[in-house]
Amino acid sequence: MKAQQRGSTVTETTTIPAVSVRDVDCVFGTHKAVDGASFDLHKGRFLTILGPSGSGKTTLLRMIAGFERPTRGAISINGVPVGAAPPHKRAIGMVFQRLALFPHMSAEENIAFPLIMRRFDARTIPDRVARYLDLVQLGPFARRRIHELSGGQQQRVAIARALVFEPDLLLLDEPLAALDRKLREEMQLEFRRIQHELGVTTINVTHDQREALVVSDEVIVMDKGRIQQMAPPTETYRAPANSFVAGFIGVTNLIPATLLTANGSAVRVATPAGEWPGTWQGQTVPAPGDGVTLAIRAEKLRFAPKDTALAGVDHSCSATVADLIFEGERVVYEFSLERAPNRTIRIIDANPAEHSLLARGAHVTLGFSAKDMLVFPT
Amino acid sequence: MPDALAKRLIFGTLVLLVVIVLSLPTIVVLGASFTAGNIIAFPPEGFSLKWYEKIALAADLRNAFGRSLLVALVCTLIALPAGTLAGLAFAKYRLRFTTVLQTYLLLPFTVPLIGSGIALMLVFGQMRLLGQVWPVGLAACIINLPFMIWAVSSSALGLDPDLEWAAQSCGAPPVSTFLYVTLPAVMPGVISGGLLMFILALNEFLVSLLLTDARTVTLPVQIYNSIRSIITPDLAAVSVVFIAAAAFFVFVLDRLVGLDIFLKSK
Repeated sequence: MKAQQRGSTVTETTTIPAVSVRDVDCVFGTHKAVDGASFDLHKGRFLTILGPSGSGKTTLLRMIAGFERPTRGAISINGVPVGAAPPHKRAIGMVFQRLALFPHMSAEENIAFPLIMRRFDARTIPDRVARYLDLVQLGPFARRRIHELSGGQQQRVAIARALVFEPDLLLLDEPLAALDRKLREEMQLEFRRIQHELGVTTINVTHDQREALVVSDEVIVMDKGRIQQMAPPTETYRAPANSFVAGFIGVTNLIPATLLTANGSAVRVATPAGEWPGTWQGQTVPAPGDGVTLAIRAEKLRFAPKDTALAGVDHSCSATVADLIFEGERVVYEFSLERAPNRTIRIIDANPAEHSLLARGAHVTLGFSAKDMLVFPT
Repeated sequence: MPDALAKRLIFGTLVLLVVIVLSLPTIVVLGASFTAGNIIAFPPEGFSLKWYEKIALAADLRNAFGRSLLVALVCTLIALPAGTLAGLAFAKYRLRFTTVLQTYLLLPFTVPLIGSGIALMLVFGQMRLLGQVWPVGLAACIINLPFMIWAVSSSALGLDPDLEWAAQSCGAPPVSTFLYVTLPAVMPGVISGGLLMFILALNEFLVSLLLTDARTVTLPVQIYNSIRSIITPDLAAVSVVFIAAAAFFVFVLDRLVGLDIFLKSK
C-alpha cells in the first residue's frame, strides 16, 4: 500500500502541480505567522490544512488567495508564479469564514457577480447561474435575498459563487465552523460531493480534525507557523510525524519519558509508571538518556478486570478506573496508573454493549503492544 | 398578580407623562395655527386657515423657505461624499490618531454652537463669502458632519469584514468593489445620514443667525426676526409647516431604510 502510494507520487510530480508553495514565510512585525512552508498540491486533489488557532493556517490560505503577501518564498498556481498579482487577477474561488455574501443582492445576483466582474459573455450568464443553482440545490430560492435564506442555504450560495466561474482553485476558509454539528457534517459531505463532481483542486482550512479526515485526499497539519506533516488522512492518523500531530488528531495519550535502551527502532523507556517498551519514530538515531514523548491512541490500549490475563500484549500494568464517559456508541475510560496515580490514561471501549461497564474505582490490568506505543523525540 | 398590575400601571403612567410632555408643544402650536383670532392662543378661538393663507402669500417667508431648502441641499450634497468616505475609513481602517480624529469630529458638539458660529463668521468674512446662501449650507455641514459619519460607520461596522475580499475574489478590481459592493452595502447608513443632514440643515438656527443678513436670511432666522416685532398666529402656521416637513422626511426614511435600522444605528 505504501509502495503504491509512493509510485503514484512519482508519476504525478512529472506533471505541473496545481499549487506549489516554496519556502514561504509570512512575518507580521516580530511574529512569524508562517515559517518556511513548502508543499505541492496536484490537480483535482482536496487538501485540508488542519491546525489549532494561531497555527498560521489561515495566513497560508490568504497568501495563496493574494490577500497577504509572503515575506519570503514563492507561490505558483498551475506552474505560474503569482508573485504580487492582486486577488482579483487570480482565478481563485473562495468561501469565507462568515461567507461574506453580498447582503444587498439576491442569491442569483450573488452567483452572477463573479461572471459579470470577469466579463463572461452576458448571454451565457443566466444559464450558467441556473446550472450552479441546481448544482447546490437552490433552484427554487434564486430570487431570495441573503437574509431570507437559512444558514445551510447561505453556505450553498457561497459555494456556488466561488465555483461559478470555474476557478483553477477553490479555497475554503473554515466556512463550516459556525454551523451546528449536524448541519456541519451534512455540508462536509456536500463539499466532497461537489468537489468530486467538478474535480476542482481545493484547499480547505479547519481546526476540526474529523472534518480533515472525512473530506480530504491530503492533510497538512500545522503548528506554530510550521507544516508538521503532509500526508493522506489514513497516514496522518496511523503514522503521525511527531508528537504534536499524534496528539492533535484522535484521542491520544501523551506521556513524557526518558529513553533507556535502543535496538534499531525497538526502544525501552523509563516512565513514571516503570519501564515500558515502545517503537522509535524519530528520524535521528535514538540516544539513551534523551527526553522523549510517548504517544498511544486511546483505542490501541486494552484492559481487563484485575488478575485476568490480557492476550497478545507486550506490556501490562495495574490501574484503577478514575472516570468513565458514556457516549452511546462508545465509552471513554480514564484510568489512573497504580505506580503513577496522577497520570491518567484514556482508553476508548468501542463495544460497550458487549459487556458490562466497569465501575469507578475498579481495579484493572492495562496492556499494549510495543508497535502501538510510539516514541517521539521531545 | 397585583404586583404586575401595579408595575404596569406605574409604567403606563410614566410613558403617558413623557409622551404628553414631548408632544405638548407640537399640539399647542398646531392648535394655535388654526385660530381665527389675531393673537397666538391655546385653545384657539374658532377655526380658520387664514394664517396659512397669509404665510403662503408672504413673499419674505416663501423666499426664506426657498433659501433654507437651498442650504439643506448644499449641506447634504457636501456631506454625502465627505461623510460616507470618512465613515467607511473609520469603520474599515485602523487609522493612526483615530481617537484624536474622533475627538476632533466631536468638537462641533462640545463647542457651543455660538462659538462655532462666530468662528465660521470670522473665517467666511475673511474669505468674503458672507452675503451668499451656499456658505450657510457649508457651515451646517461642518457642524453636523459627525451625524453623517456615525450613520455610515455604524452601517459599515455591521458588515462582514471579509466582504471586500469576497468581491475581489470574485474578480472585482478596487473601484468596482467600492461601487458594486461596499457602497450598496452601507447604503442604509448613507440614506439615513443624508436625510438627517438635510433635516438638521433645514432647521439650523443659531449659526445661520450669525452668517445671514437681510438678503440671505433663512426660514428659522426669519421666524426669529418676526417674533421680535409682533407675535401673530402666522408664526405658529410656519412652525407647523416646519414640523410637517420634518415628519415627511422621517416618513421617507422609514420607507427607504426602516426606522428601526436608523434608530439602531445611533
